[in-house]
Amino acid sequence: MMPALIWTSLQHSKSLGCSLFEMGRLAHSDTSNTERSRLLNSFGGDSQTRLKICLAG
Amino acid sequence: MHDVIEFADSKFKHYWSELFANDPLQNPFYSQNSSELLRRSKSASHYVDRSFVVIAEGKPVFACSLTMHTDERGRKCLGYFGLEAFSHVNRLSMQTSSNNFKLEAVQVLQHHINRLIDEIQPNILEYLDPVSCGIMSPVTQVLLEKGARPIVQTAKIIDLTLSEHALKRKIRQSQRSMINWGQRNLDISIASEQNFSDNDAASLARIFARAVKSGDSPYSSLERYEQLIRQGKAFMVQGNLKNERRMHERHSTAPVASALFVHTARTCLTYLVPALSRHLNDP
Repeated sequence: MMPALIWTSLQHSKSLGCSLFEMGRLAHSDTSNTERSRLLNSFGGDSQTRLKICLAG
Repeated sequence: MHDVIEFADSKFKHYWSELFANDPLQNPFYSQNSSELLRRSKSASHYVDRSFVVIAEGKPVFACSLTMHTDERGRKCLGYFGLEAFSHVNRLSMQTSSNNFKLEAVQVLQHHINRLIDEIQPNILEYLDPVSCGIMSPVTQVLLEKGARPIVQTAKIIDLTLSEHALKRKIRQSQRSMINWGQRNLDISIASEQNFSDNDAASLARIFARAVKSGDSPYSSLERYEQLIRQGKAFMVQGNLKNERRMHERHSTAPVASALFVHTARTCLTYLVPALSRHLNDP
């Protein structure tokens, strides 16, 4: 069901005038959630790198 | 001439708005409108806003969304209202010859971050580098030098300027089949600021409860999400099986699937989307 909802949200975002749609982020090291990875990668789009930086004092 | 304008400065909003309008990403969670709502909510009253903008020759070049708070264990934390701290760039300030920013502006930004860390001495700092325009943020450089741990992530960005036909062609065949199935078998509705009902509020509460349980909600308050929808900064998409629609209307049963999306004028972000959560536990 979720692909249909995501598709509707893409259409709605277009109607709002948005030009970018970020599907979500996945850490390179996260190989545990293949379902999530599959959904993230199945709608096309470009891959962009993000860096999450954690500093513990 | 370079300068740092902090959140408490009366000129902050002006410079921030100018920079955010030219930020290539415009992450909805870091817009000032969105932050304004947070500052007024009780759930965020313990956060101190230390955001700032770096100015060069009267124009904003960099900005950083940054708050400080003390958590329930007494630790000093730097982030942004429960999310990671975030940096923004003004793409108009990039030097076209080098595809980078002026060294002096970079140094001012790094000096200010160093000064804040020395002053606050945080126990925990979480920062998200958007790697805008393909360039690692100068903030990241400072944090790595201090021993921070980087986690490399990939974000999937879809270009909505393409036609619907072109967008659909980029979707994998298996997902296209599921979209077609959904269009045949689901009543899909959108709840936004214009039509947000009590039933929608109940659906939102269910998504929120699931997200809290799986650790996917940075905000601990449902009120925060309701505000986003009621202020026109988010919408919720819901699906009901067509043959259950009448039952739903009579008995207010929950939709079989729902998800929340937040947006600015330029960017829409999947947010409380169960299937995209870290811990997949939904159909």
